[in-house]
Amino acid sequence: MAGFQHPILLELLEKIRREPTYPVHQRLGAKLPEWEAVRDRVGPRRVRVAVLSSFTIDPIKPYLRFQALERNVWVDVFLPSFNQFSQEILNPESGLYAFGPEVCFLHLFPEDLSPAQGADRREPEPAAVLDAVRQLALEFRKNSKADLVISNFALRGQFPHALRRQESVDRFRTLQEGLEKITREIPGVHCLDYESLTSFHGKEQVADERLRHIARMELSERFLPRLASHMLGWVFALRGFSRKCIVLDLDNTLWGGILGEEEIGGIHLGPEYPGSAFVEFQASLLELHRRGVLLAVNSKNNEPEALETLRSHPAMLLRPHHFAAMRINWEDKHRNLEAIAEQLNLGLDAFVFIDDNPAERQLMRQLRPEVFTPEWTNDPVFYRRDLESLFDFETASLTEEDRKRGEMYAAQIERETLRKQEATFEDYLFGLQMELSVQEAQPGDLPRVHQLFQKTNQFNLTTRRYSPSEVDEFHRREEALLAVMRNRDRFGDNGLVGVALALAEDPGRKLWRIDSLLMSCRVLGRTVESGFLTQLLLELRRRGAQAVVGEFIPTAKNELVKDFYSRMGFKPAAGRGERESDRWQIRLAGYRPPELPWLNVDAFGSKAELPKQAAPIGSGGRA
Amino acid sequence: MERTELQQQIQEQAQQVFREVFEKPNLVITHQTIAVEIPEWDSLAHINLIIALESSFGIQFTSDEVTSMSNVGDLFKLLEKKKP
Repeated sequence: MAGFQHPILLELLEKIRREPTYPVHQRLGAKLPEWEAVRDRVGPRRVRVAVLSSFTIDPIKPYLRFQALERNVWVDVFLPSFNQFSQEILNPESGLYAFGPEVCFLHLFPEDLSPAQGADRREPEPAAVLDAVRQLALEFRKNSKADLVISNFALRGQFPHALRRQESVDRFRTLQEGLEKITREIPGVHCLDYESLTSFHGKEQVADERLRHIARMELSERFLPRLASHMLGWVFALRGFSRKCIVLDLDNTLWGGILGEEEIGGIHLGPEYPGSAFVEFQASLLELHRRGVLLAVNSKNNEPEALETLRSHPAMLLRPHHFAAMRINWEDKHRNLEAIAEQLNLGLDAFVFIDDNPAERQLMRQLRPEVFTPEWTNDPVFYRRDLESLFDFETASLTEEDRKRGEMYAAQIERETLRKQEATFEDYLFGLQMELSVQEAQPGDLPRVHQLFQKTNQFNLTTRRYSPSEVDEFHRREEALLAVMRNRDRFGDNGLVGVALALAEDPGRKLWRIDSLLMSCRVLGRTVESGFLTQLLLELRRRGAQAVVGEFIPTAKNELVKDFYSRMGFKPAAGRGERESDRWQIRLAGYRPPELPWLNVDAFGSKAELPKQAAPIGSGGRA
Repeated sequence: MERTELQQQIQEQAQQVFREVFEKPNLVITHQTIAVEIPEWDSLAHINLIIALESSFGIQFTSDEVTSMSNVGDLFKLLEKKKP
């Protein structure tokens, strides 16, 4: 549900937006702990982040907190005094583990890791540095389930490294490849690309030499916010706080000038300034679209005129088919945004709203704080830079599903058309020619499995947000079944859209519990969820299960699945009401699977292996 | 005469920076004010103060000046010397 922004929070963030300087951040940041009232008014997204480093990095704290707060996310930061990193990691009783971070950053220089450098100050051996990093990562993994993000090392750019830099480059590559190997070997360990980040910012600007020597503050005031954004990009991706859709204004946002005030050829969009700035902005939006970010329009214009411009302006890169939803009218923008959210089946916290008009931005922030409305420059030449500085669309890994999302939404529109044509719902289901595959998760599925654990809100029975390392652990456990569901139909491949995690409750593995069951909303309403659960139950029975317990934990967003287990033939389980979850149970002895003849099923190997009772499920393909 | 006007202007501008950094809207600083009189003036606040003064006056202190600046009288003299 949408709520009004708390006035204290609104005022605080407004101050920072007006004067985003170092002293203002530090000053207001110091007061944050006092504002418990604000804490309670921030949305449900919270995360505990630890920052370990070999130098003074305290001033990054307010940047982390405010950049997150702007996005309605509360971050608690644990930041021990500098150079405590090895004690914190090695001692299982340390403050770090007592704090219980969900994401931990480790930011070191090679010199900190190789005690051998000694008096002659040679550059440390890459092998020794990597060994030390590996040890730290392994110790951390032993003591914590949190994700660990390790910064890589930056190449030096000045003389004597400047001209004949092959030696430095080789060294850097060895370190970089070694670090990447560590991130592949140890689950839940990731690499922050500090080298690219510092290159982009300008290596000379990264440190303030005076503060380095006086206060061991290695990072300059201007670099700190950049690093904070980069770190939050990782936090948001790992915790599933990333956003899915950019909602755009049109006049002076997507193109220069105002429709209606100029002829269609008169708006600024083309190879010359100022139109060139808008073309670049659109190109950058198109790139995000290709990576799976949805685009939508929310604009006050005359609709026919705006559509005509989108369709036929020769320099337009974004065409109507790139937009998943459009609201072009004279309604309030926050109402339009709500309509878009409903149409796309997304929560308001999945949106970023970009508008050149400060009054519209302020209104959106005030009335729909769940939407992230970034401050926006009034100079279009910086539009692209500012769009590309948003970390809200980062994902821990780019999956096949992300790349195809745009096409998938187009296929969805075709499905809807079919639905309108077919006489009955059953005809529609047969007409889709659906193929359903349910299998035990393979290692290659895990990034997508993790992504679904993080992002799925509506069709999610328990909303347990497991980290990559936890998912990895379940995947390897004997008494766990981590199953994935894929679905395709005649309009396209929906990819991996469902995840189920079942755990044996007793040593004899007679009783199993479905700990998690979730599915992407894009396949909702086509009975695949029933097919998925049915196949899971049949597989558990084949593994010797006699009964299965299904759990439901209500959240603000999963009302949809409240009755799912009951609809699937489960009965209320004993001991309900005493636990955090609603528990449902089903006996497998006389289990009769529902008939879903329109689904062509391939489950856990092949159809032939399934027991007789499963026949109606697999055999029905009329298509 | 003109010189004292400039001095006064610098002192007022510096006082404004102090008030913002320490969040004391009524703080008054004089030539005699020393660091220990402002309890919040610790090492991190000192860095904040330096950065705030540099951006307000459009100047840069040397590392020596950063470390030796512990009373306001010295600061005023420095600002007068450095102001473009």
